Amino acid sequence: MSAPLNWIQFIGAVELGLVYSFVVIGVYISFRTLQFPDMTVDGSFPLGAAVAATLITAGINPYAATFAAVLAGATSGIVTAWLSTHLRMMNLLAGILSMMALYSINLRIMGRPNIALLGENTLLSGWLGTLPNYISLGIISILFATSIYWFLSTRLGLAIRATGSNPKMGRAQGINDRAMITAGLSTSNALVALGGALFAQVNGFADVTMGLGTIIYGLAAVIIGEALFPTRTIFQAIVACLLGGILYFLLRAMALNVGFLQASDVNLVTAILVASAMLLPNLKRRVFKDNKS
Amino acid sequence: MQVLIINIALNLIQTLQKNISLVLTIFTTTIFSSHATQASEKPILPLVAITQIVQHGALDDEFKGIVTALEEAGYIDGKTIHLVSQNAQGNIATAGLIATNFASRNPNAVVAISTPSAQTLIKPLQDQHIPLIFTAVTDPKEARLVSTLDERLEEVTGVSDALLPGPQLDLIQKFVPQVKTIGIIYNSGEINSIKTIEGLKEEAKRRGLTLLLAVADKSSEVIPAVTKLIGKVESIYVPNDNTAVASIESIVTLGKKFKVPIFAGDSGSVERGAVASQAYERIALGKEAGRLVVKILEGQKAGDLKIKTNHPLVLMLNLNSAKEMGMTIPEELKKEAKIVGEKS
Repeated sequence: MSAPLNWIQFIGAVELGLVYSFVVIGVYISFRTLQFPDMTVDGSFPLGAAVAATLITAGINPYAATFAAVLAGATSGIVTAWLSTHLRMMNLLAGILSMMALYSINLRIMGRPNIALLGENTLLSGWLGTLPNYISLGIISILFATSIYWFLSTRLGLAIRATGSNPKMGRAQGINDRAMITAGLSTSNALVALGGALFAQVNGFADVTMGLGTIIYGLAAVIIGEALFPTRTIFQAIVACLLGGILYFLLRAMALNVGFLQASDVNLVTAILVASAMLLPNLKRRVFKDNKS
Repeated sequence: MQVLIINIALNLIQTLQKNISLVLTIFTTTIFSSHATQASEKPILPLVAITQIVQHGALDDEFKGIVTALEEAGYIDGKTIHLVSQNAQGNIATAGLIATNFASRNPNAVVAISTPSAQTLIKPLQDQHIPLIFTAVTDPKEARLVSTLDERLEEVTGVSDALLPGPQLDLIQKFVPQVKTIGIIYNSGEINSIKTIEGLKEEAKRRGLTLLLAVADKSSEVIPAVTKLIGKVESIYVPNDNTAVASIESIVTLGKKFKVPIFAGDSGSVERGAVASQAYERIALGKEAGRLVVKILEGQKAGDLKIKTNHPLVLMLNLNSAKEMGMTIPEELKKEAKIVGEKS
């Protein structure tokens, strides 16, 4: 293999994958279950970081700060949903508007573009700090993946999924699709903001530009996960999201190690990865068909 | 609840059974191949790793300066040292991957050009006691790279590019004596610009000058920001701001059109058309950082090396621009300045 990784890089990529796993599950909820390509995440990711970092530097307990970040993320999802359902705005446009507004809002929240958290008390410096980061992040990640699985299996979760797959049918069954889109997008952005809050606490700073490309990472991970792992049940889909995220960051880290590739080529590598991941199911189908005939 | 747990367990087993071979191959190949590299990477030459957050003139000059200082001390890439460099192209997640990539190679020194680059590197490097040298950072203390500028225990040192506000306003008042209001164009998303403007505001107040701020967070917002200022200000100052500096040509064009002199916080912008700057030479700052790297390669501890601040200022003057912006430059200012664009 021409793209090796050593232990530190491997762990670094896994950590990044775990932090972004919340983004991936969030994107999965909006993009796959609601069929809503939600650009808000490019703004709600730094929003989570901004809220958590601002509160932590103000001396607030990191658990409370992280919780506030999650609430802020949920609110941003509600705004996007409102733009889309009440103002009848195109999905993509509603997300882009929220994302743009969030850039200014994040600057307001932080009061400046960059807050450093190094040396502050964070989620990962309490009892979780006794464990290596990848284990504590793994615990948090599995905890939330489980609760999201539980959430999507409740009546509300089922209604959200029904709205996504067939809004007309959903309405006929008495489901309020506006409320479902709102619930889905707020859950999705709450998760993304949690990812942002964790990113800031793991890496020691929040920066207003850190949202750039969040949606792409989320989509790439969802698509890679779906291509490689079965997604027939919601549970499988969530596991696929988690593994897809970790795998994506591992592949990115490997791309950095290839001699002729530079960090600036990583976006191209992402595009090729996603395109090939999307080709894979087609290819599989064709190969199996050929075998049968 | 019990049903849920059983359900999860069953599902997990099923999913893993189907994919275990695939997952295992992927994960083992990565780990096994890692051992292969560690064996093949012979640490004969000392390794210096350099990263910067984006590609643009000032940061590229810092990079050149670092390499030059290393070469002057006899550390030549491929001969006496091994040099690796990566550019995050403005993306913080990529910067994170670069940081672990660098930490994993166990280099003798790592140089970070810009605040976010240094912030992403600091944790992975500290864990392994790899020295970090930063440059193009305005306030290393507020960026939490160091606890205090003087006494430190960390494996961190570097170069701060904070410009004192006094000489900046001196420059504008020298060239435009009647100046009352100064327009400033900056990106509200850049911590370095915000710090600069905080200092300028205080100093301007003391001198009875008014600052009029115009925000341009993207290069497409630069022209509207300039037009917002025109007619209200006697001159425009462009601080060391990535977004504004990247679009300096369009600011200069408008300055020439409306006869508003444009001043800059960096010398590169004067070469590209601003009237004058009283600034650090980026290559010189890069060299300072490079010399810190040399000291570390020679066995000194980063924590013992002082952070470099307040470097010599160089007055740069663009005579063509001055003429086109309707200014006459006093002879004595011409004498002390480094002049670019002299064909008049």
